[in-house]
Amino acid sequence: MIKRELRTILLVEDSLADAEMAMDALSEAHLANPVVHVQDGVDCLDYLYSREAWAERGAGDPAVVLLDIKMPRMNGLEVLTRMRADERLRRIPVVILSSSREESDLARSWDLGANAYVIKPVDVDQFFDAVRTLGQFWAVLNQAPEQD
Amino acid sequence: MRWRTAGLLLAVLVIVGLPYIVTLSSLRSASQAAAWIAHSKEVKSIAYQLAYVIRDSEAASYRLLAGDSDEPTRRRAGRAAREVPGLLQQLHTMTFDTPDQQMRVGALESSANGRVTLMNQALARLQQANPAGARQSLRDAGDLFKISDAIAAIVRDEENLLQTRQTDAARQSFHDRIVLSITALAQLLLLTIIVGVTERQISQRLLAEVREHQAVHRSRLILQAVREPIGLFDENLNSLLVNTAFSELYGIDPEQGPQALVQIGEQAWSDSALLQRLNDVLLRDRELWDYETTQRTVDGVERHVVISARRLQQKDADAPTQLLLTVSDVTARALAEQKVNELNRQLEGKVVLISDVNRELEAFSYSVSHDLRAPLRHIGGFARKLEHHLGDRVDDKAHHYIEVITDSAKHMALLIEDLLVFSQLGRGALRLQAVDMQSLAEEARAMAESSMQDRRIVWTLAPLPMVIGDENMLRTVWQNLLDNAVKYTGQCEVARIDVSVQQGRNGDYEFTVADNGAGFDMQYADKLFGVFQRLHRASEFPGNGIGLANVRRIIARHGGRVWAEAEPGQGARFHFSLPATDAAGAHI
Repeated sequence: MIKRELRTILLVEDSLADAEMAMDALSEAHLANPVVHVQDGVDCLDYLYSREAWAERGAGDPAVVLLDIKMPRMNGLEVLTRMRADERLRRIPVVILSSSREESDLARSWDLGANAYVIKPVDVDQFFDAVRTLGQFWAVLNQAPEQD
Repeated sequence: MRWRTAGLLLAVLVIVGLPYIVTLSSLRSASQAAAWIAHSKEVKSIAYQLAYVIRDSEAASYRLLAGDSDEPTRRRAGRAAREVPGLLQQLHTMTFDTPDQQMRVGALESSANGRVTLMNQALARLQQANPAGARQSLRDAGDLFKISDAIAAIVRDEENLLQTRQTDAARQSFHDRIVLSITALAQLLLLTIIVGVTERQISQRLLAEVREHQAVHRSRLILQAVREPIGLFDENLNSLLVNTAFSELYGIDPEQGPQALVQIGEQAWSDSALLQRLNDVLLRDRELWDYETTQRTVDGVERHVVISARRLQQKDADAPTQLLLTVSDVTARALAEQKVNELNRQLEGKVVLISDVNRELEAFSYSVSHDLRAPLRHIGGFARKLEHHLGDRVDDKAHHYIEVITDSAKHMALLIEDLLVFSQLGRGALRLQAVDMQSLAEEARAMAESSMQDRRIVWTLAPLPMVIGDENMLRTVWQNLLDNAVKYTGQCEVARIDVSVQQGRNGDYEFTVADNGAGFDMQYADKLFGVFQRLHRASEFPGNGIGLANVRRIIARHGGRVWAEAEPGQGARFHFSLPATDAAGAHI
């Protein structure tokens, strides 16, 4: 039996420095899954719907979307709202990865149907640990339903 | 009222009628008694006259017999025959109601008739010149028909009758006297009662009149004393009565007579709409309630007044209607309202300002929380990447530099964290509940101790009360104070930390945390509770100076106060007060 193509990890992050650190952390986790980085909400939805710049990528949902909240154009909470409103996207796991520890952000994310909320630790080691753990859990341990 | 009139009539009847009836009957019986006496006397006199006439005729007959034959003697001798039947008839008539007497009169009649017959026989024999026969007849008349006994019996009987009748009359008059006396007594009694009742009624009426007079006087005094202007006007709106307040407000001379309302004050009552309404009150009995207007009164002040008016309903339907007018001067109230409105407007402006400021603060802290931390993370992250990148080429110096960069970033992250907590303490709503200070203090002690090994600390924890407050915030207070106490006694061989409480006179609780640690110079005490203010070097005692600032903010939000006293090297005493449990809510 041919092993299915590994699902991607979609990192939605406007800060290039954060993205670079997150990519480093994910690569340290030694995951086989490819990591795709998009820089805002609009880009994220384009990827998910395979359109515009991502028209050529083919089908297939990511294993997990690591979603920042504060981004230009369309922020993370708007992306989450649209995903949960769409029949085709609503099952994709979304982990909010944000600097904000504001109670309002937490509450809204959970209300909108986030699967997890992780505050980016300021401490470097904690940050690497957190992202590594996230990648391992969602790409390897977590079992998603079969795709149509 | 009706029964009283009936009673009075009855009393009059008894007082006037009864004696009249009694007197009348007594008079009637007295006259009857007199009549009876006259009657008896007459009966007796007729009887005696009868006897006299018979004897006189006999005596005349004897004189004729003796030879005296003149005319008068002849007439006297025939008199008995002429007069006796009439007298007898009279006796019969007078005694017809007394059967006994009738019987005796009957006996007398037969004797008298017999005697008269014999006397006539004697006269006849004398005429025939038979004197012996005549004498014999006369003698027989006297012997055979005696009348004196019968007359005596009639007289005796009549006297007995009279006696009986007089006794009856006397008894009757005695009875009448008694009845009269009783009636007189009754009259006296009734009169006394009537006089008493009348007297009482009159005195009651007098008292009522006095009271009514007093009441009228009092109400007049009250009317004059009322601070609200009140006036009474007739149907043409001329003043009948105004109180002092009215006079003063509109400058009316109290001595002056009635005045037309429109003339009162200086144009104060010239508002045609108001006058129309007042006429409506008078003519259509519509009440006027709280008519608000402004009037310029005699003192030249523009006043806000509230006018009420109503028609006074007279008891007598035909009496002219009157208008009761009351004026409330609400100038002060209107001014106060204006001021309150003004203040409210200002306050609303301030509230808007404050909520703007709060929104900005919120945005600011959000930005701090989100945006300021990202670069710090990058500094730390890339310092680490640099170290990895250099690999073996990192010497001690480079390692030190990278360490300082990383530590500084961490320190700044901590400061930001603390600042955020501090700002959150000021913003979030208090979640009030009953809080057990004892368990919070115990908890904080356990935490403070856990981070310190190899320390000898002697704790004295007094029993602490329950208070109303935000549990998480008060936990922060205890953690900060006990952490500090542990921290600043770090150089003592044996640390002593006392936690105690006492209740003030007004019910407030005053908590105290005392230690025997480093203390501080009271000169700088005012800096103690400022944000990021420290009285010790970080190398001596680590920390960033946010803890006591948090304590002060929390206690202030609970309506309490925090202060400290200390001496360098002699330990410090930190106090905070919380309002009495039941009043805690009032300060938040």
